[in-house]
Amino acid sequence: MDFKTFLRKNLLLTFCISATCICLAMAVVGLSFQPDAQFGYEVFFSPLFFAGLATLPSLVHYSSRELTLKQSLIRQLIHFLLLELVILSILYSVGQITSLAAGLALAAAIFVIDLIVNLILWINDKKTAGEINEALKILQND
Amino acid sequence: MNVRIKPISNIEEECLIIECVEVTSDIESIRSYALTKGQTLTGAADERIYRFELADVLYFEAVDERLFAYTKTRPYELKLRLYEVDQAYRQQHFIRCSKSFVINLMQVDSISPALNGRFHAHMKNGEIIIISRQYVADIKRILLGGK
Repeated sequence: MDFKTFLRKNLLLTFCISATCICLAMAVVGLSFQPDAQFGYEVFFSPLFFAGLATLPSLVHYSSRELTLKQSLIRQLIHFLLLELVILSILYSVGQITSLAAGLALAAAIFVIDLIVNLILWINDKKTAGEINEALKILQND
Repeated sequence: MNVRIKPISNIEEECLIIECVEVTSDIESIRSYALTKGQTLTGAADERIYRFELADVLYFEAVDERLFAYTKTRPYELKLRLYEVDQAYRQQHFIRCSKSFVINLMQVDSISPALNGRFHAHMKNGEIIIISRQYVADIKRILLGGK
């Protein structure tokens, strides 16, 4: 796969799903830790900003040649560690992480979001595989 | 170019001989065309030449500069390129699924999702072939008629 196709097909989808999941996580974590907090309109930019940051580590998945299962798994692990590192570092540097509990809760939220993103991508692929299998049956029975 | 057709009685002995001063791209095209015509293929295995049915081929695999056709019984080495079989046998439901493979859709048992956006083609003989994400759209388009 060339880099342009990778950018269009993989990164764009990851960005959109991440932005949606971050909105959801912000609501859940915010309601749990600071239910009375109030925000301005600028808060709408933060899911997009963090989704952009969350998408950057996905670049480790890019390869011009075919990866083996082991290579894919290793890259998946590197991706997750980079994701935690990038987002937690940014949040810490802007003073959003004030306690260990909040840090752990955010790390857990990032893990859950990454899991959900991968699950959605897998469900999407499963649906595609189902459509192809249906069409294969029709082709082979004709 | 002069063209001569000499009738023979034995189908096993059918062959096309090209006599040329130099192997140009035109000659190569004629060679590829002739090699990919019909429903049978000729391939080498165990230092012998065999004829086998195209429909029996599970998949073609390119290894370095060589091309192999895999059937349920054995692999055969062909004197063709992967892109030639990809172009020639589309009508017979052969389709490119990665840089090195062209699979026979009639010999695919099922498809399942794999890691990193790839898919697995489970062949009817139990083998699993990787389908690269970039070729999935092509397979969908061919099978679902552009849906």
